[in-house]
Amino acid sequence: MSGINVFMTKKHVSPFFKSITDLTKNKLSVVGFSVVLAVSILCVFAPIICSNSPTQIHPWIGSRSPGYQSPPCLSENVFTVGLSPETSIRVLGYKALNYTVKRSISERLRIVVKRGNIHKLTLLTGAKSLMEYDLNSGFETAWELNESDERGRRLPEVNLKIGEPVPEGLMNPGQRVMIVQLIKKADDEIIRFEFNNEIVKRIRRDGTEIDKISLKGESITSIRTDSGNVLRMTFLLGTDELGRDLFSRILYGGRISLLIGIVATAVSLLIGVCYGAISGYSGGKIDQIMMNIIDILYAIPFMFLVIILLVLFGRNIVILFIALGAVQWLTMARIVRGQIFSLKEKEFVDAARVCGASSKRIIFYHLIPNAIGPIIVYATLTVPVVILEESFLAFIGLSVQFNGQNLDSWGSLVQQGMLSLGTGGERYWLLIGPSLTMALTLFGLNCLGDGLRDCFDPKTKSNR
Amino acid sequence: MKNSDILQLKNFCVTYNTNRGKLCAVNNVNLRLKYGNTLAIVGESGCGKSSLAFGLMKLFNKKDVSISGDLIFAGENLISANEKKMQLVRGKKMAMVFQNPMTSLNPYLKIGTQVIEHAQRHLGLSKNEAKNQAISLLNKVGIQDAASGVTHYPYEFSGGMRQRSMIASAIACSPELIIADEPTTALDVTTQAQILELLSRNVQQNNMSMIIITHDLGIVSGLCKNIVVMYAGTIVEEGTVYDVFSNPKHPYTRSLLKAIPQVGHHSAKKLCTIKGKPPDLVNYVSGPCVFSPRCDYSKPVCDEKNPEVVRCSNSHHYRCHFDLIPESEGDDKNSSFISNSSHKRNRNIILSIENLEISYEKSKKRNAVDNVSLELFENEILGIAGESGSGKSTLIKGILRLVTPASGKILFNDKDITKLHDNELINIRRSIQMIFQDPYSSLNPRLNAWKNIAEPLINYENLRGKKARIEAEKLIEIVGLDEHHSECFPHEFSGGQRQRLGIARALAVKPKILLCDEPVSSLDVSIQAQILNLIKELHQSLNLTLIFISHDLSVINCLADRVAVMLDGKIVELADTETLYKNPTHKYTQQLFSAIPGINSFTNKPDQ
Ligand SMILES: Nc1ncnc2c1ncn2[C@@H]1O[C@H](COP(=O)(O)OP(=O)(O)OP(=O)(O)O)[C@@H](O)[C@H]1O
Ligand code: SF4
Ligand SMILES: [Mg+2]
Repeated sequence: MSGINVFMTKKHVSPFFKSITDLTKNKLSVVGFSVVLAVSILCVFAPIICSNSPTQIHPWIGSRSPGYQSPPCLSENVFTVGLSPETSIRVLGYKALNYTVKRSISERLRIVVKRGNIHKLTLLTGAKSLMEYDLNSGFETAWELNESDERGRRLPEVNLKIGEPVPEGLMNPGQRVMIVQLIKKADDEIIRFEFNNEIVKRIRRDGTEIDKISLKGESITSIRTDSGNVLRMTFLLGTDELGRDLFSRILYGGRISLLIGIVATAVSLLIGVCYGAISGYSGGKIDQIMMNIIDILYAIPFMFLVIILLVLFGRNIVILFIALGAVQWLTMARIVRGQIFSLKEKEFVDAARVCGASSKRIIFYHLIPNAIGPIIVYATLTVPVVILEESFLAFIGLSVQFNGQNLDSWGSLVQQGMLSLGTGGERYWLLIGPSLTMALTLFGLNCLGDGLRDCFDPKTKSNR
Repeated sequence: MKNSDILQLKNFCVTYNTNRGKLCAVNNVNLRLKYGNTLAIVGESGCGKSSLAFGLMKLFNKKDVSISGDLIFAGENLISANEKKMQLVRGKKMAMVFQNPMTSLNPYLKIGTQVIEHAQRHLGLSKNEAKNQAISLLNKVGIQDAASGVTHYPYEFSGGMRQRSMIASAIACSPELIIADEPTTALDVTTQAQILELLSRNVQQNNMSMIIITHDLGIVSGLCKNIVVMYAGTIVEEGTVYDVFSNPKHPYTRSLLKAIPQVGHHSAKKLCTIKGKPPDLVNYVSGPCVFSPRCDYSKPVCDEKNPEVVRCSNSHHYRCHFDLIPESEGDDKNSSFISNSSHKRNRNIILSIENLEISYEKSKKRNAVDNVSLELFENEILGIAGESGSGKSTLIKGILRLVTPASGKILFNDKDITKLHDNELINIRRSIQMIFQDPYSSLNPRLNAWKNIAEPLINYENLRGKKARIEAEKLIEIVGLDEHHSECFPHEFSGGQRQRLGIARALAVKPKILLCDEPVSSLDVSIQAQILNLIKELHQSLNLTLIFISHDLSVINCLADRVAVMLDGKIVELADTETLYKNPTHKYTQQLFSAIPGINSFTNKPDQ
């Protein structure tokens, strides 16, 4: 029995895992892997990590250098009527929100509406009429709090009237601000806001209604409230000219960049591996023709083609995936073809044929797994190439879109950084932040690729 | 001068710092070599022979390998010599001939340049002198048309010619010591004989000393005066070749000698084997006798303390607790095979080849297989002998249609294999299976043992998952491995074990004919004997018909009923084994016989 147990506990490592464990001994690749892993984790968990939204503008903050802390002010929450809230409070897909009022000085409800004619806006119960109170007079939105928590300087904002355009440079031109003073003071309890098409209700935890506002007039899209939390926003990497947090913009941009890198690489893998394997295994005429096709494709200036595709079919992210993947598969196909070509001379392939394996089985079961090393290495090295290419496209203004919305990738952040650098380079952080992150990631990926190359190198793997 | 030592090792150790721990590849070796003498170092693969040779030249990177003890060369202790000093010694006073001439020459440099490279540096020759020198060296090592030879690149040379060039480069500076690390392992018998002859002639002429490392005991006797048998990094026996071969004292030496198939007596006897394999030397602590786990004579005392060196004559030493009496032929405890001569006479033709021609695209000039006709009788073993490149492998690949014959017929079950469609071919391949030459490349390294073996079961019998595994495990046991090996990957097996897996795979679908393409050529003698025994056993128990290819006539001799000798794609002689061995008619066959290193001359007392 004990003899059997000895062998039960002995692990049989496949050569693949052996190579991977070798990887942990290679300093360079460990560094590369850690960098890539760190960046990926930051990007993937960006919604949890970033306290600031990447799209929310803070006009009164403007462009600030890294480490800037906004003066303490009353925080705001933005809800979009009929849609899920945009930021700050992380509840997606709900129309109701939990919302804590902490201090009683903040009994205000700011409502931001899209430009247009507002006919009527009423607080139904428990609040003063909106019309009476606000809209005609206009209000400031945010106050700085001084040390003793008293209202300090009023943050710049203009008085607004219905129908009046917003002065340029202050807010999104499509928004109006109304501030609603609630009559009833909220205690430290949790209150829910509930949105129905045109009615905003405040509801206690137990479900009883506190008050509601009816929003008549079709153009209301979002409601912004002061939560009453004293908020001090910190901008780790500074802000851009619209007061958007650069740190979160970089992380969210990383999601786009990495996504494009990975998906395009996957596309190139799929096409390249199949094509290369078939070509290499067939040999002879077929191989020659297939490789000639690749040579011809190589001659086409692909970046040009991608640009034309993007211009013609729109800058949809899906098109970009395909376009970039389609450029990369050529080299992948060549590498795989070379591998398969030499592997098929090995005796185990003849052995497989003698064992009755079909060509398909030989290619996909016997050959490709044996070429997995170079494939992984090349795939790892393709990701940074694709990221760079996408950045290039973004840099020349062809940033990707999805559903008509611009998706800011690292490339477009760099481009925007360039544009708003200022004459003397005053806002250097806007360029350096995204560039450095991108460079670091590319460095990490390349190190990882090189490390993998070492580990899969047959010379370093002893067969004895 | 003549009687002093050119090389003396005292407590010489070579230790690799691996990531599993310290690996003591050479362990406390004491050795002396006199001026003008030749010394053979023999032992199984992994016994530290190459490590010793590399250690002598200090060809190691200091960080990964540590060398200790005394290394006294030509009166000078080199153990603490720095790299610069060693560069002066290497090439000029000590030269090395490597195992594989295919990889030890730089493919991008002309032969002439490489031959004269160190000499030019050490002797400060001018360009013209160097060229002339290179030409005369190539002449010396027997390369015809040396003047144009120097301008060739390695790929234009055959293996034998490359090894000649390597030797030329080694003797360029007339070094005092030549170390040859398996100089002929990569070559076929006839070339091997020439190369060995060349080496010994040059050594004698120039009064050099030589250390020749080999796992082939056969080549030692004619070539060397002294022999050292290494096992697990230690010297287990040393002495003159005559003493050691005629009266081997250490059990290891005995087993090695007995494992060699002997030409001349076609035996029904099993070959002797050594059980197990050399120990793992990582973090090895000396204590019991290293050979004890594999030793037939092992007694409890062997596991307690390490035997001391015993001197049985002035030059003959060994390391064993016991003084074994010489064995007589009679008390061989190995069982014999049942004599199969009775049912061997069954003369049904199972496969017949008519005028088969096969050529490769690359070399259209010459057919790899040229007008070969052959008949294979049921349940016989047909040996095919011939040097490398004579078309042996191509012939059996043609039978399986792994290469497509240009013309001719191969009749099996009344069907012509050369004309079959792919789907019919599957049925043929099912009844004709093959064992491949190189166990290191014939198994898919990404699949574990049972998956490799299950491949034919999956494809031919449509077995899946558990069922395939159960069948595969049965086969693993048939070829003498344990069930628990089924999860192991090929890299966890030794060469012999891998070859067993290859055999298991070939037997999976119960073929009628088994084609063996040099299945033992890359294995040590001890392992070779195991595999040969296994093949013979299976041949009898499973009623197989075998075609067995080898370049080694002694191996063929111990297996085959009939032998075909191939030369340049043609069969030049085909006869019963005994007839062939007694009186070979074709000139080439005779040549092959004379090229077999003289194992028979072991017991001939060398003239002193
Ligand atoms: N570079 C290395 N690093 C670590 N261990 C090594 C290295 N080279 C050899 N070894 C180990 O040292 C031991 C002796 O190896 P060595 O190559 O000297 O044997 P050998 O007798 O020459 O074998 P062969 O007949 O196969 O050439 C083996 O256990 C081997 O695994
Ligand atoms: S000491 Fe014992 S185990 Fe070692 S070789 Fe001699 S008899 Fe065998
Ligand atoms: Mg060696």
